Amino acid sequence: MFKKTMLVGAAASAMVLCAPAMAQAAPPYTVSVGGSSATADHSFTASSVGAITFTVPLDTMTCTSADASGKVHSGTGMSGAYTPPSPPWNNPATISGSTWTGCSEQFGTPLQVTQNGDWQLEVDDPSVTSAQTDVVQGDITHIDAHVQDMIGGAVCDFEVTGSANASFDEAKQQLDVNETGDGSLIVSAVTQNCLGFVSVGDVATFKGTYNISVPDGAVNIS
Amino acid sequence: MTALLTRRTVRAGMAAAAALAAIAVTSGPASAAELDITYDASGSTDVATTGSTIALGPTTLATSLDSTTGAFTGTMELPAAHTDFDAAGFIPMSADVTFEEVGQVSGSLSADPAGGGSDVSATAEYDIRLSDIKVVGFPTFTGSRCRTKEPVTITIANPPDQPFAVFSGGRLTGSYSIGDFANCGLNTWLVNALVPGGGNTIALDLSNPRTS
Repeated sequence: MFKKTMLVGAAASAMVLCAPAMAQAAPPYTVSVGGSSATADHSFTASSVGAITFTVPLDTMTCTSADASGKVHSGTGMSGAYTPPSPPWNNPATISGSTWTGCSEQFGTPLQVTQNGDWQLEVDDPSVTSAQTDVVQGDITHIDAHVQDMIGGAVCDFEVTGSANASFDEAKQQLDVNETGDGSLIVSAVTQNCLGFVSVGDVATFKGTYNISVPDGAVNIS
Repeated sequence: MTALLTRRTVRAGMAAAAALAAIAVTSGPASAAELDITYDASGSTDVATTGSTIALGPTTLATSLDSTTGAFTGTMELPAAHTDFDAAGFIPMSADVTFEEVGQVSGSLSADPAGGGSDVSATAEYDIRLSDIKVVGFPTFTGSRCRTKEPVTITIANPPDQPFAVFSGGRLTGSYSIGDFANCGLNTWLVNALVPGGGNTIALDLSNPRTS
């Protein structure tokens, strides 16, 4: 599920050489909220910054905005991966709900997007530090989204599942989803193929940035 | 609709390559493919000079849509129709009218900037053929080659406040002019005195989209 780039690896190496005083944190990870790493769940809400885009080879879909909610799991000794049964949690957050507004395909046809099940935020970034400045690399996994037209799915009705590259900017408290289409996110089921625009197996992309708000305080992953 | 009906005229290799390119680079533009989509179509046209209404269809509009650009071509054959009107306001006349398709319908589809659907426009050319012209119920000699000298160009689009719905259909409207007729035998002068002119309107309802 995890995706690392060579660039990240190189950057991590450079940081090791150049900033030996900064504490490095490979797994296990510590997730703290508001300065506390005590094992607990903390509610969060998320609001998109700008539009959300989602593409398959023959169609581009956008939503003008999206909101999400769920729990941040603080704790220590976490592997970063979702390891059911949970709790105990080994990944930093669970997205349990989302709403998608103003969604349409490239020719303007309104679409309805709904989240199925819980989505998980996993992290795999050996370069993270205890500083509140990391951009922590990871993935949103267990994505399952149902997309249909606004006439009850009569013509367009399909499901997207898989995972998406994501990063969490600790300074901005922003989650950036940037799945460029490596095949980890696909159209897994098609009930109505949107007049041929969508097929089972289509590789999907997913881009969006969300401001994360946690009433208990800022999130840090180290 | 079965998968077999979903004929993607995809230049398979090109589409695959394009898809890979899109994946490699960004989330950007979708790959290109020609999607064959058919709508049921029916409507009517009002001829201004005669004050008559002619039914159009029911028929089908079969289109081939470029999935990336929204450009499309298509065909829409129209069945013959019958019209009645009063010449000079009091002489009952009737005729059979056939719109004979000349070339393909061409058009474009794009997202309506106001949201809620698509903007679509299309242009088609038809020869209008008249036959079985009757005056006060009596047949006249018209022949079988009475038609417009030049094809009539009809441009239709969704009304500004009514976005078109690709996945369900919608209404398209437009206006057009009719030019002179030829080869109508002794009726040529009469036809050209009564029918040609501008301000003719058309309304077409598209529904039941499906792959073809």
